[in-house]
Amino acid sequence: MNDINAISVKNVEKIYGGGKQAVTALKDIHLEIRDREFFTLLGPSGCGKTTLLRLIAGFEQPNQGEILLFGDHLEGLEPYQRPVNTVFQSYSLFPHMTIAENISFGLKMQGKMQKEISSTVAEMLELVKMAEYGERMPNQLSGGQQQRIALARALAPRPKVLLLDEPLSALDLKLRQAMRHELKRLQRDTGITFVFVTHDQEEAMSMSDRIAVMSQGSIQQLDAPETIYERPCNEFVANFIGDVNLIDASVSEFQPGKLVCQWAGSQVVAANTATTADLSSENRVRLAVRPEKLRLVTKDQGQTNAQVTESMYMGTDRYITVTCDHGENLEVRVQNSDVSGEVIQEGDTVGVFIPELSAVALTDQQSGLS
Amino acid sequence: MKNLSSKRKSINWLKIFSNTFFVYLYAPIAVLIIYSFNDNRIAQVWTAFSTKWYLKAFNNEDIQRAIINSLKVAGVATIVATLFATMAALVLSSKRFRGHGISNAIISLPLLVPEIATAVATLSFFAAIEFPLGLTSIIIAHIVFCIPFAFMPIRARLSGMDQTLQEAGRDLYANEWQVFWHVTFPLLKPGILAGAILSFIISIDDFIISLMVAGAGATTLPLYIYSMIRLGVSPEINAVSTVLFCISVTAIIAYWLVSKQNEEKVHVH
Repeated sequence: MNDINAISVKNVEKIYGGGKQAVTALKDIHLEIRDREFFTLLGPSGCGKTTLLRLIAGFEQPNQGEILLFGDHLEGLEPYQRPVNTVFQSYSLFPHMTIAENISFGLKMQGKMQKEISSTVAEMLELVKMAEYGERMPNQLSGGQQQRIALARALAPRPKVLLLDEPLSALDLKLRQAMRHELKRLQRDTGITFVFVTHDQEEAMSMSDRIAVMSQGSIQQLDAPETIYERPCNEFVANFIGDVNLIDASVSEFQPGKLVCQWAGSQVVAANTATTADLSSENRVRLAVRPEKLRLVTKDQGQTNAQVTESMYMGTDRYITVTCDHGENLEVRVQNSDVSGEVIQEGDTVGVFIPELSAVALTDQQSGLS
Repeated sequence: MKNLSSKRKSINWLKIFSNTFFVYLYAPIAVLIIYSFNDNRIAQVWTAFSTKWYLKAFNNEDIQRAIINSLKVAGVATIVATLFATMAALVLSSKRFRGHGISNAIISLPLLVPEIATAVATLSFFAAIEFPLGLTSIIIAHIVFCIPFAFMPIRARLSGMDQTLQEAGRDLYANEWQVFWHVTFPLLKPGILAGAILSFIISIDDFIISLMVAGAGATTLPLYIYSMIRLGVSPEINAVSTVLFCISVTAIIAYWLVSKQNEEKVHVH
C-alpha cells in the first residue's frame, strides 16, 4: 500500500463570476483521498460536489488552494496532461466512432502502440462484459450498455484516479442497483482509486469506503458510511442521510464519549464525540435518533408515554408515528419479525424508550445549518 | 356518415388547391425544359424532339466561357466563405467569447438586406478603393454574401453538439488541436458540407450583384443568359437555362440529403 494520498485537496476555494454576481461554489475545502479508495462526494445539487470533481479533472481552476495527485501538484496542468479520467453523467461517447474506437481514443492520444491498444481494448470490453460489441456504434446501445462503455473508455488508459460524475443517474432503478455491484467489482479488480459524485445517499452508502457529505460549498462530515449514519455530526448530515427524529434535551453530565441528558423528565444517555466547548451556553443539546433505534414498550416502561397516531404497514417494517405526552411527534420503525400476532394499533398508549447510546448529540453547530 | 363525407370533400378541395399551386409553381420551368428539346428554330412552336440546341450551346465558346466563369466564381466563393463561416461559428460557440448574441446578429444581417442595396454598396466600395472590376471583384462580392448562408447550418450543427464531448476528448489526453481534429470536426462535417452546398447554390445563380461588379470579359452564366434574352427567346437559351437549373437542383438535392443526415446524427445521446 502507498502511504501518499491519491488526492490531497488543500484550502481550495472556487468562485464563479465576479463582482456582485460572484457565487462561492467551494469554500476552504480540505480533503484527503487514500490510494485504492472508493471515495464518494455526496450532497444535494448545488453543494459543490461536481465543481470539486471538475477541479480535480482540470476543467476548472481553483481561485485559491492546491490539489495534489499522489504528491504532485496539478496546478497549471491541462485536463489532457492529468493522469485522471472522467466518466460523464451523459456518458458522452463519441457518436461518430465505434465502441472499440471510443475505448481506444485515450490510448491513441497517449501515443500507445497499435498492438497494445488492441489488446487493451479487448481487455476492457471483457472487463465490462461487452466483448461482442466492439464494432457497434454508440447509438445502437442501450443506456446501461453505453454506461459500461463510458467506464471502459475511462479505465482503458489506466488512470491513477477515476472520477465518476453521477454516472448512474440516467439509468432506471433496477439497472442502477445492478451497476452498483458492477462499479464495486470494477474498483476491486482494477485497484484504481474511484472518486464518485452522487446525490443519492443509498448509492453512496452501498459502495463507498468513505463519504464526504457536502452542503453549500463545504464538507459537513467525512467518515465511513456507518459512522455517517450512526454518528452524524450535525443536523444537515442527520437529515440528509436516512430518516431521523430530532429532539431537544438539556445536558446534565459529561462522560467520556457519552452525554447524560434530560428529556421529557427522564434520563437519556446519548453518544457524544464533542467536548463541552462545543455545546451552547444554556446546556441545551439537540439529539438525533433514528426511527429504527427507538423502542415502543408497555406504558410507563419508557422515558415517556405516547399515543400512536398512525401505523403504516410497509411489508418488512411498520412505520409508526407517536405523539408524546409533552406534545412531540416521533417516527418509529418496528421490524415485522414478531410472530406473536400482537399489533400496535392507532390510538394505543405506549411507552417510548431510547436505549443508551442510540441517540447522538449533534454538537457541530459551526455550519449553522439548523 | 354525413360528417365523414363532408370531411372527404374538404380533403379533395385541399388536393385541388395544392395541385393547382404546384402547377403554377413548376409549369414555367416545365415549359422551359420541354421547349429546350424542340427542333423548331422558333421557340414557341413545337415540331419534333431534338437535342441540337444543347449541342449548339455547348459548342458556343461564349457560353463555355460563361459556364467556366460561373464555376470558378461559385467554387472559390464557396470554399472561402465556408472557411470563414466555420471559423466564425467556432469562435462564437466558445464560452470564452463574449457578446456572441450581437455577433450572431451581425453575421446573419446581410440575409435581410435587399440585394440591390448590397449590390450598389459593393460597386461603390470597389469604385472608392479603385478596385478593377473583373472576375476577382465578382468572387470577392460573392464570398461576402455567401458567408451568412454558409454560417447558418454550421452554427446550428455546433449548437446542437454536446459540449461535454469536447471535454471528454480533453480528458482522454487530446490537446485542443487533437480535440478539434478527432471530435469537433468530424461531427461538424455535415454542417460544413451543408453550408458549402448552400453557398454554391446562392453563388451560381446570382444575378444582381454579379451584374453590378462584373467587368468586361467576366460574364457569368446568368449574365450571359440575360444578355441573350434581349435578342429574343431562342431554344438555345432554353437549353442553357435548363443546364443551370439542373446544376441548382443537383446541389439542392445534395443539401437535402446532407441535412437529413445531419438531423439523424444530432439525435444521438
